[in-house]
Amino acid sequence: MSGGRFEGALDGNVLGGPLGEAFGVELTASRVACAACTRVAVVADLVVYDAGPGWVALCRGCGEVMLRVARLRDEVVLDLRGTGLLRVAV
Amino acid sequence: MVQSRLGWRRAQLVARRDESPTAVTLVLGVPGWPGHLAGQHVDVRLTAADGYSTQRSYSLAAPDHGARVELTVQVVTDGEVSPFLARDLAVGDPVELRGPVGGWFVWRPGQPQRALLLAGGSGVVPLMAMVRARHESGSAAPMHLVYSVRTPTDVFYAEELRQRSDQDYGLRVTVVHTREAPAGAERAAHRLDAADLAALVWPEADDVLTFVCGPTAFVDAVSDALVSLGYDAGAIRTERYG
Repeated sequence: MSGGRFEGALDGNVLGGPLGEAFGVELTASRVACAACTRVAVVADLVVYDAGPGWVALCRGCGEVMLRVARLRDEVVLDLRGTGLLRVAV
Repeated sequence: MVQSRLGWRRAQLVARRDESPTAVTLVLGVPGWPGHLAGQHVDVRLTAADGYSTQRSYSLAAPDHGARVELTVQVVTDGEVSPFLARDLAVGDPVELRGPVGGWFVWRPGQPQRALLLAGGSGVVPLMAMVRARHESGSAAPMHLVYSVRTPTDVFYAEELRQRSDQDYGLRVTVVHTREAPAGAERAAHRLDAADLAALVWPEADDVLTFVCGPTAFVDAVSDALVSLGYDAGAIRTERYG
């Protein structure tokens, strides 16, 4: 547990809207692995900061960036370089 | 659970209700609203005349009642969106809304397990939707809401919570105060800690649906305390609003 390491941060629940808009799937309950430390958590558990036109999500275990998402005009732009694996229930 | 793509809908303010000196419930009419579950939220988008737009997430305060949804908005000092919604949005005004959002922080009326709900301040909003959904569905699942507030005047839904805990068999509501306790209270005002929780929560943690919502510091402290009491960190459902 973080013990206040991420004071003031939001969490991955807030990503449900923008990710749902892009994929049409509810993703906050999906399991996701950190590419850096391999910690697995649900998307809702990620540490999220509001970053201007979008959001940046960090691993709660190691603090590395796992994904970034932004809405730019008529596109949702995703950078998933820190995401190792994403499991989506179908 | 696959659903259709989430898009923005045009909603209109139908009514407003004060909940505390700094919080208001907005009742919005949303044509075509697909329904929602207790615990889900919506994104609200405001767009200025010059095209600048900004959005925030707000929890749904009531269970699914068709095309009317309720949000309770706490005014954030210096906030960009909440003062406008809470003070300036007038009945009849339009607002853009996207949702329902979320599949992790949800309670379903059919779930028979005991449910432990821990709220810090306005984190009570999605948990109130669960209390109300339990009432409306006639669910007999044991539910305990532990609601931490600064002072007695900060309590949202005070009268309804009293009524629900008096009338709804199996529902328990505990309000704890962090800055100022009511006159005659046994517990002196202090932050909810592990000793409080040890006395309040079900000791055998297996199979308890646990929801924690509030400011990040509250959620982290409460989650840590629950883990120290034997709750499984991965099974605690959390929602933080900064």
